[in-house]
Amino acid sequence: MIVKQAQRKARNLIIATLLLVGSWTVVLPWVGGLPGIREHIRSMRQQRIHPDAMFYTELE
Amino acid sequence: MNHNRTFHEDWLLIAIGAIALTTFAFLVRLETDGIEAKAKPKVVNQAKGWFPKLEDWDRDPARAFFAKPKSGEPYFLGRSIAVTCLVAGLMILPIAIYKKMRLGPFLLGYGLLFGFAILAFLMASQSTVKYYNFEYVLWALLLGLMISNTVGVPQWLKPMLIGDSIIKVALVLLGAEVLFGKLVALGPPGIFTSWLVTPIVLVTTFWFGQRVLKISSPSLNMVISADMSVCGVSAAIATGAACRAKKEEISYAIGVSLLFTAIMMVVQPMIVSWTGMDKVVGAAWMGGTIDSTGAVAAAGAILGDDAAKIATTVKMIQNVLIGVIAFAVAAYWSSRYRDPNWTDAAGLNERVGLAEIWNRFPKFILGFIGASLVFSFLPYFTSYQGLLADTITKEITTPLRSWLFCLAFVAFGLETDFRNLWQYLREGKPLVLYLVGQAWSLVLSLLMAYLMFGVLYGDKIKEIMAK
Repeated sequence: MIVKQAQRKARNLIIATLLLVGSWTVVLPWVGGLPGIREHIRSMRQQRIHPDAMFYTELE
Repeated sequence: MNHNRTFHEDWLLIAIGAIALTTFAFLVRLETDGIEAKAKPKVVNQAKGWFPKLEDWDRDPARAFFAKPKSGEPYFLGRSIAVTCLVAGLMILPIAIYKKMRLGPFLLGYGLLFGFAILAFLMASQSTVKYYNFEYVLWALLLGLMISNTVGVPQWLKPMLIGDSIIKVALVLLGAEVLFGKLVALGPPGIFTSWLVTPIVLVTTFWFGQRVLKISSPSLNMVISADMSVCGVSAAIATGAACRAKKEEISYAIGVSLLFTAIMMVVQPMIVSWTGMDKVVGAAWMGGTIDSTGAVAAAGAILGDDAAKIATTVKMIQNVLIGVIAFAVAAYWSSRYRDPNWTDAAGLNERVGLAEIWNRFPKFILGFIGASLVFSFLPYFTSYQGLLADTITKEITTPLRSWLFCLAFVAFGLETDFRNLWQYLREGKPLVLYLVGQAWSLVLSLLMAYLMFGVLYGDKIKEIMAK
């Protein structure tokens, strides 16, 4: 019973890890390549704007 | 949580933050050329590059670890990451000693937290994620949740889950970035749009949550009201710590805020363009309403350079409000609620003396405000206005406190049961609170932006921008 539970937990962790790795190496790069999004990223990079800035001191 | 323990610990956390800020202040100096004494002094920062920000990447995660300077060759960030690990570790070590942690488990636990922090920053720097404002705190939380809700947190790691303490040290560092001099950047229009509308929206949204929606947790209500009305994640963290909100409450508020910020930063500039709204008014409107600072800059940039400047300046003025709000929330909570977790309804209407309010007051807020006051007035004691304070904060404390926030949120995730988060998602009321508050903020901010940037000071602002 305990062994089965441990196996289930480990399996869940592996699935979550695979989902995460897949999302960041396949899905997100694909989304980032869509024309509208690619243009948004290019424009932000060109203007050196960081939309992820939490506070004004993190802006350039 | 034991009340007395918190009382003593907060002083320790303030001391850690103060020692760090003082040390960093000694690492930065101004040098003037002897011949040209009146020339702008050169800033010498011995800690430059100590605390890195990972670079953005599209497909290859390895690129995140190579800094791309404006001039020169890319270089590996390994040494900076090691220095950050060491400095952050030295700052957290006194907390571990205070909590009677043994060195072995501390080193092991801290190493693991730091590894997850690197991973969270790596996830946040993927270009699609980064340029749509999904900040690192979300991924730090997710990684922690992933472990705690699958295999569980091992016993030896549990003493290291001190996110509450780490976040307070980071907030003392954040205090140094809250500079009151920034208030006058746009004159009366900026102050009215940011400092009048924001508290009105905050108080009325909180009232709405308590009286109309009857949200069961006042601290959840406050954290959502603050992050929606002030400045997103940083406001959620500061007010959450001030009213001792639960980790799940802060996490929920941040998640909702980041989701809607990503939508608003795209939709609001479209509304300004489609309606033919004056771009200056539109920029001020976005600065006052979009939660996150970076998203405001991005939305403003869509409308043009001037709009970006106005939007970010309005937001910057609003950022400064975080100090006053955090202090006010801490004072209000201390006078209203007896229980440290603020769930004691019986304490609501009791008369409380000043001594009791002081006893309940979260002392770290004094460190936060103290750092803000010292750094706000630092320019008056140095030879060149603001240069020293700007260098210390932008180049040293800002990246360091980001790492500390990230470590704290990994710990939060590791402590959080997903079922507790799910409870808020299922309840629906917190989401309604956010949406109603945001709608109210959009209306009130638009009226004030129109009045200040369109009717009363429109020409003056355009004159300033033309210069």
